[in-house]
Amino acid sequence: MSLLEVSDLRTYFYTEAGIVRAVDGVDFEVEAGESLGLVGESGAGKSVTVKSLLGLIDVPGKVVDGEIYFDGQALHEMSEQELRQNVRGSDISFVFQDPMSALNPVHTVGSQIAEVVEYHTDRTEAEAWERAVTLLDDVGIPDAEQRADQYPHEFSGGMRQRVLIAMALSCDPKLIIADEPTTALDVTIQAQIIELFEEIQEKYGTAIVYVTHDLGVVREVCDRVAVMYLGKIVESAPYDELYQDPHHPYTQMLMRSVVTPDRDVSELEPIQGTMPSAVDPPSGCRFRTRCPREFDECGRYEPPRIQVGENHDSACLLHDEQFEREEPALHLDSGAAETDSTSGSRGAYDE
Amino acid sequence: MSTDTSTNIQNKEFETESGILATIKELRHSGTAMGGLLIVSLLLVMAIVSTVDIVLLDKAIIKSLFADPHEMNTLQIYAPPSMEHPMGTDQYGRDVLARIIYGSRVALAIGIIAVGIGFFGGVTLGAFSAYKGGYVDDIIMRALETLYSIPGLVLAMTMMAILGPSIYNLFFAYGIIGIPAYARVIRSEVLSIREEEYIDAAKAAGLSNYKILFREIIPNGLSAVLVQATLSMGSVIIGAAALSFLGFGVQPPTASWGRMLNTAQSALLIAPWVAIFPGLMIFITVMGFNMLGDGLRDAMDPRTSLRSPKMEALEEYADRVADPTKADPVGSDDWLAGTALSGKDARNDATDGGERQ
Amino acid sequence: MSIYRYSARRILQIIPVLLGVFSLTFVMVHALPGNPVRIYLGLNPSQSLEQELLAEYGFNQPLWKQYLDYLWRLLHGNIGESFVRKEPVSELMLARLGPTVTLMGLSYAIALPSALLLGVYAAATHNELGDHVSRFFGLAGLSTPNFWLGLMLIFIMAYQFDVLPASGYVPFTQDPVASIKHLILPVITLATAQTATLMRMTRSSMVEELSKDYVQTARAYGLPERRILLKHAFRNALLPLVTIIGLQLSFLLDGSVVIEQIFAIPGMGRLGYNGLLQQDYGVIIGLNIFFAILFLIGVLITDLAYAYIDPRIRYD
Repeated sequence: MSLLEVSDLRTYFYTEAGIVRAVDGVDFEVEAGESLGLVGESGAGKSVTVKSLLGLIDVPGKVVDGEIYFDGQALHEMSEQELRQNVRGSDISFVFQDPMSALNPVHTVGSQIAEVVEYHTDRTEAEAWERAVTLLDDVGIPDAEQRADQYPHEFSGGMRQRVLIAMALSCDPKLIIADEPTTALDVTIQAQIIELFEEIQEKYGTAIVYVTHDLGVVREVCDRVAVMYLGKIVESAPYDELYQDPHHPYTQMLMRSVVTPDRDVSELEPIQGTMPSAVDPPSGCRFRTRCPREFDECGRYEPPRIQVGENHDSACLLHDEQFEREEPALHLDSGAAETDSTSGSRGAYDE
Repeated sequence: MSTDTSTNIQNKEFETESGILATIKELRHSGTAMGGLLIVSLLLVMAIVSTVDIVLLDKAIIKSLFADPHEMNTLQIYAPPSMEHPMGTDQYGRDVLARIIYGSRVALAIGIIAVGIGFFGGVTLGAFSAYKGGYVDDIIMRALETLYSIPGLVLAMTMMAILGPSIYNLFFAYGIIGIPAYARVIRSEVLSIREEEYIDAAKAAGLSNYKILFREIIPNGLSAVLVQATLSMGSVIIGAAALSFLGFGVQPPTASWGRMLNTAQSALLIAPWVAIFPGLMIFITVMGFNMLGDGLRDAMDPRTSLRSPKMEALEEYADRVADPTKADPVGSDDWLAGTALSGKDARNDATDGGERQ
Repeated sequence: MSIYRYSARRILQIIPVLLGVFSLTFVMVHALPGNPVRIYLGLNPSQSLEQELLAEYGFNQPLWKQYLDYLWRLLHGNIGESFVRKEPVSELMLARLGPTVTLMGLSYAIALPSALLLGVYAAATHNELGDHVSRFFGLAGLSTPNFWLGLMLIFIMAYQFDVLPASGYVPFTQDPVASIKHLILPVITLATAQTATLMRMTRSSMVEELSKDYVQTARAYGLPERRILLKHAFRNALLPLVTIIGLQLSFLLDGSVVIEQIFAIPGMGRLGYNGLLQQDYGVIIGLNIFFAILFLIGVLITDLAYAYIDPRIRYD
């Protein structure tokens, strides 16, 4: 059994504008020690997905359906109290996007880590502090002993993210959820933090769910990738396979819109159009409004995730043999003519 | 290049106007604000009608409805509430209800004129000070701090002792006292707006400094001061009533709620109605302005929405869903908002500060 | 910047303001209508005596010289003399400091804890019933004129039910029970608007803090809600409040003038009020300067407290 099994997760937000189906039937699994990248454009529902796992969705949002099994426990059946005491921060910990604001400005970094340790383990105050210092040292903060006694504003952005990672490690979690942990950082610092995640995984064997819109980061950290589009996972595969052989038209377009060492900026093909509203998503396949290969049936059937290789599935009707179409070519030419590669990219990777 | 920037500027101006309109529209969703607006409108009608009545019609309306608010009747001294005098009579036998209605003129006039003086004086001084910077800023701010450090009522009483008790001097005294608060709010607004990119754009487009100040900066900073003005309307009305209560404000025979309470104090035991009703009117009036101001502040604050709980987070989310080119909120803006002395906080502190004095 | 340098700078900043207050008071007093010694002399002053007194107090000197003399005297702690009571003003003021400070201190002692408690409660129940009720009472408290509230309390508690004295002041050392009985109504009157204002500010400050990312972090790490509320959000919410508490002193000082008048409490406010009615130069100077100094000291203390409790001492 996998460490984390999520099936048919649905999280809706009840607004005056209508029901925002932010997460609408998401399934995925994470094996112990594995790292999964959850990739997609802003608004695809990545963050909401991971926050739903821990019940961190605020009013007017609500997890309306789905099963979440973690290490044999049914998280979706747990009370707020149980989640708080046994899961949040202890079994599963969270690293947030913005290290500048995720720490409390009026408490020292050491005391903030120690507080979590003290609350979730039976260590004494002094032991918890010791643990905090050790953790800070582990995540590469020099002079951890002194630094633990300093306030967040005395740390740089990268250092604060290290502090948050130390906090995430504090109770030996089985899973760390990192929600865009490098987005707010400078590029050079990003590389260091990514390296730190790799080290953590090697050293502690912790499973990681890494939420990002940056395929470059995914390559560094993740064993496997799940691509999200408008509240659904459209393709899931081991990183290398996804990179070599993307099946879903959306993934293919994503791949072509990103800068890699062997591709120049001028060759980039931004994804046309914008993601439709999650209040009123397109019928059938949600990507069809932007898909160059859309055909009649796309609007009629919601494509299931079809096995296309070992550990590789993709939710596109093109893979289904009953629609007698040729397998999508690896490098599409049809869409390329229409795209204007010199215009500003409006795709996912322009941040 | 220059055409580009000027379009930017126009866009911004457009946004500002539609921003204020949108705010007013959003007010409809706030019960508090609408309640406040109702109270304030009723009072305004009352004040306007009684002004017309006294100036043009020689109290014809009020006489036909109730009684002459200035007419004394020695046979009716301290008459308790009755059909003839629904709120009783005072020490000269004058009808309390009629005097309360006429008192609305004084209360609203003081609120509006004194706040107006404070508003324009404060906005001019504060914006000038912030824009000049350097020692000019230092001198103006120290001078305003001086004005601010003598508690408002004490300063007002001293000024009234100098100028002599009259309603016009009351306008002036409370106007002067209000200046520092407005100046502080607009100053912090100007200082933060000055850093915005569209000001750089305006500079690049070659607009003169004063044009930038009056056409770009002040209009954008004004919303914060408007909230402050609405909220301080209440405290000015209370303050002016306190002065009249203490005998430094409106003089007889003009009907003013504060003054009525002054005479009511000595007769509290035998004629409580003379004290109850004028005070109740002050309360209702101030409550109206405070409700309106509170709603206005919520409506202007981009972080709160009046429509339904937690809508703000959601609208932002829905926005992002609808328009994925808007990136996840990242970086500097967020953590700046978290620091104690960022412009945003300074503005809130200042608006909050305006509720007192 | 170190906290010491900050404190030193903050204290130095007060000097020009204080000088401004002295000058403004001088200007105001000299703008008062009438002759400053007339009141001293009573109804039938003789010309020669009036001239003599004017000379004695330096009122016939050129204004700039009077101004310098005035500053010089103030620097030596000499505010001048009350022409009505024929006593030094500083002695008159200090003799009345007790009742005023007692009244203000007790009001704060009641207003502050209840405001913090109610404000945190309202924020914790944000947009629920408790919040709406607290908000309504906050607005109502803010909108009630204190002089009217005082009159109504006297009417109900003293006249209707006869449980508390209507007015007067008894020093605590003289008769503790009577002293407290006399203080209850004035303190409630003064504390009501204070509580309302501070409660509203606590609430909005708490609501803002609770929406911050660090609260989300604390929740994601499973910390109990009560702890998040009190240890995390409240500590941060307190920071802007500290500054406000200092500024609120101005409001309290104003209130003491009105309330001492209504409840016949022999404090500084009542002295100043009578001084104004009688055009007593010395007392008017004393009232303005004393109240300004009390306010400035209060603001200074809270500013320093802010610098002390905020680890990010990033001033300017």
